[in-house]
Amino acid sequence: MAAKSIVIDGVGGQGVRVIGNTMASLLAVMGYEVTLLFDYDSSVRGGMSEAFLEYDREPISNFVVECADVVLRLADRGPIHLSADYVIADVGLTKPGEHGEEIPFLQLGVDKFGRDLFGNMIALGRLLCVCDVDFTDQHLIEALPKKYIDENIAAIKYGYGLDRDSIKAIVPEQAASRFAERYAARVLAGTAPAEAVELASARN
Amino acid sequence: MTKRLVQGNEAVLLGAVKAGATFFAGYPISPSSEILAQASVYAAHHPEFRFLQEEDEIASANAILGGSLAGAKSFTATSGPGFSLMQEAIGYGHKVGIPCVIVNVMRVGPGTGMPTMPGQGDLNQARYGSTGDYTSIVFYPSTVAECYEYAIHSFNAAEESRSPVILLSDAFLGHLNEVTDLDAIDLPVVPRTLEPLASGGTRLFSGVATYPDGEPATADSDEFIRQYNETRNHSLGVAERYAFYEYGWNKESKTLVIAFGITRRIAQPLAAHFALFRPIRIWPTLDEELTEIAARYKEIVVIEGSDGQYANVVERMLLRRVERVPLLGGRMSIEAIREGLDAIGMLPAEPAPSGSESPAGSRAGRAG
Repeated sequence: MAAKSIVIDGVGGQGVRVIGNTMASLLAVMGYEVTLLFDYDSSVRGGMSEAFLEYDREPISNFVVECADVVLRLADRGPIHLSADYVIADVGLTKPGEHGEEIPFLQLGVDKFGRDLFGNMIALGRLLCVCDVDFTDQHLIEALPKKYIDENIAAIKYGYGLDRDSIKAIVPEQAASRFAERYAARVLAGTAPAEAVELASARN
Repeated sequence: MTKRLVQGNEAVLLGAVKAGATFFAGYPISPSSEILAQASVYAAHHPEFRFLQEEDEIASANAILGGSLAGAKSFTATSGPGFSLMQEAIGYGHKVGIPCVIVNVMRVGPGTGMPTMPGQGDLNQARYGSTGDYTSIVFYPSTVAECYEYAIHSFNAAEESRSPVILLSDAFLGHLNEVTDLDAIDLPVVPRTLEPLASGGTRLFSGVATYPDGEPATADSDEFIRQYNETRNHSLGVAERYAFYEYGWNKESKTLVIAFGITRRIAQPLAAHFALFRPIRIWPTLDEELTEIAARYKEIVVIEGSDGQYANVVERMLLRRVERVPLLGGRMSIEAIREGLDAIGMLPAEPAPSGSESPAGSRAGRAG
């Protein structure tokens, strides 16, 4: 699908800003007009954190997304008025009646790349695939922070190449769900993985 | 040409630097803190640019007054509660005639309120926040590129008016990233003409009413009125050169929407149904321009992030009924606007098509 309105829904410290910044930078490098708005609670750690991302070939006026083409949901703290055509969610986060898929991003980050933070880049890869964004390695090199660039490119490409059958074959859903719950508890307790902080620092 | 993602708060800082600012003093407060943070980084790499983190907003505002008196184009950035604390210094700056720029990235108040949520409730404070009568020049951009442009205009207007100028923004605009080519924006910069203190001449900088020779004039009403009128007329004359506004959308509509700053952007899907007047110079109000445009429309509705602060101004200006769509509690969205229009019976029958006449970043009009 040629999505133009994206919402990334998570909690503070989970990687919403990293994913949003990286996707926006990539699209800007590709020549798109992009708006990226971060909306977050003042209690940053564990509070709601949203990224509203729109892109187009024409200038964008209203940048507040209320009807998203795609929502990437890493936690369920998003605006109550938000609706989505398609939802990409970590395990256990899709809602009844929603059209979408559940992928254990964090578990895959650990299993495939040794660190949960790479789950964010896997999620970004899947998001780019669902949005039909046709990027090149050079685009990624220009858009990504230099730190962990090889690992990040690999994780994005891995996520881009995922499909539902391969996900189910990799991780049993219950195990992934338990992993996601433990990870969310760490974020809420203010002990988010140090690597995520490092990556955010490198980005800035 | 270098198009890149730029954040609204970053654009304000870059505009200030482009305008010749060499001194920033401030105290961090959401949602303005990126301006302070990036000013400190800029200062670390540019020794001619001085950065001072103060103990609070009172000190910050007074520090930039001192910096300006000492010869530096100076500015600070804050949000609602901090802006309240700066009001005494702003009044002093008007009395003494000190050019400087105060950036207020508005959030939902009063008090601490909702620190990261967008609001537009500081319009009256930007005009009347300090004591006594004075003429505030206040701008409120709508895009990241305009944050850069109007930062430059703010410094220029401050130099010309010799007064503190307010640049308004809000939590959404300050935190919005847009692909922007700031290098393509080429605006003239008004140079500093005031000699710094201690440069040899005599210059009064007392907040007390005085005669030109420095003697107190604290009981001379005629002298006060003479000086007040002189300052007021000078500031209004300067403001006339900065009469920025946007007039567009469906000009054949029977209804004129007035929206500014971030609400203008969010209301864009209504462009097919309404005419738009967007004041960019919020204060002094654009009386002549708005009166002439409003006369063409049967109905007027103000969409704003406060409970009618600007609508009240427009109603008094035009001496006619003005409808209101207040967007409160940080809920700035087209859905909230539609609900507001529906509540006053002005919701268009059909949803407007997206991507209509006037895209974001279109050049604003200017009187004259």
